[in-house]
Amino acid sequence: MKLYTPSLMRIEEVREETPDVKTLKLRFLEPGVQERFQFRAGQFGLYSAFGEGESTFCIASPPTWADHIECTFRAVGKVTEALKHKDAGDIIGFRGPYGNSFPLESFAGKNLLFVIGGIALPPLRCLIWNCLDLRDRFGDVRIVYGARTVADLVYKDELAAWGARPDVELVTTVDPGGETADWKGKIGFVPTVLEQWAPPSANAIAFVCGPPVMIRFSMPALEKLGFTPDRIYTTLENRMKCGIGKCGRCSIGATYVCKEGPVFTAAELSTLPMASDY
Amino acid sequence: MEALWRLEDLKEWTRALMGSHRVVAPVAGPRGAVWGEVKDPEEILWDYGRTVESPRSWLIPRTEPLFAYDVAANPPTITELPITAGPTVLLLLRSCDVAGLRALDPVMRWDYTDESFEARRAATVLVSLGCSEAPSPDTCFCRAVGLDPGKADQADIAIEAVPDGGNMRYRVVPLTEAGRERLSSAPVAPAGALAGAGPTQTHPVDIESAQTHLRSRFDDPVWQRISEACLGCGTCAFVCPSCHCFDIVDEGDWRRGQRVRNWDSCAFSHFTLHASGHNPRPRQWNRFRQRVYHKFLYYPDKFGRLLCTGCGRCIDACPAGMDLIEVLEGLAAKEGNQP
Repeated sequence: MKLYTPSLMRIEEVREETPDVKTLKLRFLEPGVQERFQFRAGQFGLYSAFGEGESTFCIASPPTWADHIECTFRAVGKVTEALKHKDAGDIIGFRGPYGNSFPLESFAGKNLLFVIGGIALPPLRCLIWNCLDLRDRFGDVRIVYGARTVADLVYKDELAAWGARPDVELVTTVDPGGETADWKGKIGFVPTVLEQWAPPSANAIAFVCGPPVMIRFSMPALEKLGFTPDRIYTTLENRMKCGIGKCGRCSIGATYVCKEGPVFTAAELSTLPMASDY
Repeated sequence: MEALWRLEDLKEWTRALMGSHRVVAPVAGPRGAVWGEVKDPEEILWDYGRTVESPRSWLIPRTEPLFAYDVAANPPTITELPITAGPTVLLLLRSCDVAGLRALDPVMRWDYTDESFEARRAATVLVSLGCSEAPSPDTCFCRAVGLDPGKADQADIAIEAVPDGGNMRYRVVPLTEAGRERLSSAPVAPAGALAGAGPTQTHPVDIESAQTHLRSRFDDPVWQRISEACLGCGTCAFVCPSCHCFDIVDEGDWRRGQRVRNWDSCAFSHFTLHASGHNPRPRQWNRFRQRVYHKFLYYPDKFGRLLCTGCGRCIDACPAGMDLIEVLEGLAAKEGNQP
């Protein structure tokens, strides 16, 4: 069946982000497919480690990088453990792109604020680079990114590059106790650092992605700064098998995260039965 | 006057169909009637109540290979496996089973069309047999979910049994073009319309009030009590005519093997378990609540009809005595409108 058949991709490069997080740079094996492949920031794919199965991750590179795609994952399960042991030259499978995307056009002229924790940077890194590659279409770009420890920060080279840009304001932080002797960033949890920093909300859109506890405390912090729920975006993850609204496991209420998400505004999320376990 | 068929006519017609179709009908199983491919009309249980399992596996097999892979080959290959979808007649379906098979349509077709489901659906003709009495009076509740046990509107051909003295006669009515085609060479001309089941009663349930409760009281702690007996075994999903959730797994190693789609169930704790250990439905009552919400609120909100056909199999099959009718009546009673 074509619907569930992945395309083969060759791993061009493997980058170790942290001891358990890796980034794979991927190109479609079949000639011409890479050139035809189109997606939008926020969409995801199902990545196959043959013999173990498929895992769902966002496409972590922006659509503005046409000659390859990247995915970044933490090795926590069967598939990700298998992917972790792949080397450049190895073959994996990919299905996608699936799901909705960030309405990039509607952000034109707006100031963008990214609030991100830990392994949740990859899904927003796609959007950040997409905006930076089209820099003159947007206003101020501000990023607050935190991780448990300095070692857990992903894309360290890119963080340095963003920090050095005059057209990006970047604040990095690690949880108390997670700092090293030469750590130059903040020490504190993302919501707290965000409140202290207090970036302006005028003409601004906020993007929040991180562990559930970070999101829970960042939402009220953003609202206090003046971001209304329709101007706060997030991207959800749930266990998926099909990615196309059939297998039934990613749904929250009547909403399929794979088809009607993964990108939601806080206003949309407030209509889903997510207050407790669902 | 319209001609009624004798059982011998039905058998003759079925025998002729077997020349060009796979015929699947109720046959005797170890614990009651089951769906099976038949080669001889004499094997068919022409007068049966309800099969133990639903006929769903004929449209969505319990296990279905999707493709084979050989990543060690040079070049690496993926080979799509042929979809098995020969001309098939599902014979003597009850109203609840026809409705169950048709309830798969919206999910398998929205946006992305599931090719193997579609191929099998297109190749399969549904022939229903009306219930003149409820096969399982304590657990059948198809009328409560809006079905007529005597008339399966969504079948291709509908048959109803008409008592005639000591004998049984049959009124055979084509409902679709595919049905008309299959009857074109029948030994007796088909009839124009069904009479319907008449007074056949099934267990009453106030579905509307139950839905009102579902919509307004998601966090009702009653779910913990309702779900106490649930073992999470998934039997309810596996006998259900409309459940359709599935898993996709690899069989083989990193070099070669195949990817397979298998039936799954929201009753299992693994169903929503993230690799991180986080589970959005961590307890059995979260999972049972999801089952009831999906069938009576989420799917109806999305696709405009219920995802339960009132067949009652889940009640009869549950090893722990979970009773969907009791659950729905309990929720309805909380809204003050006891059926």
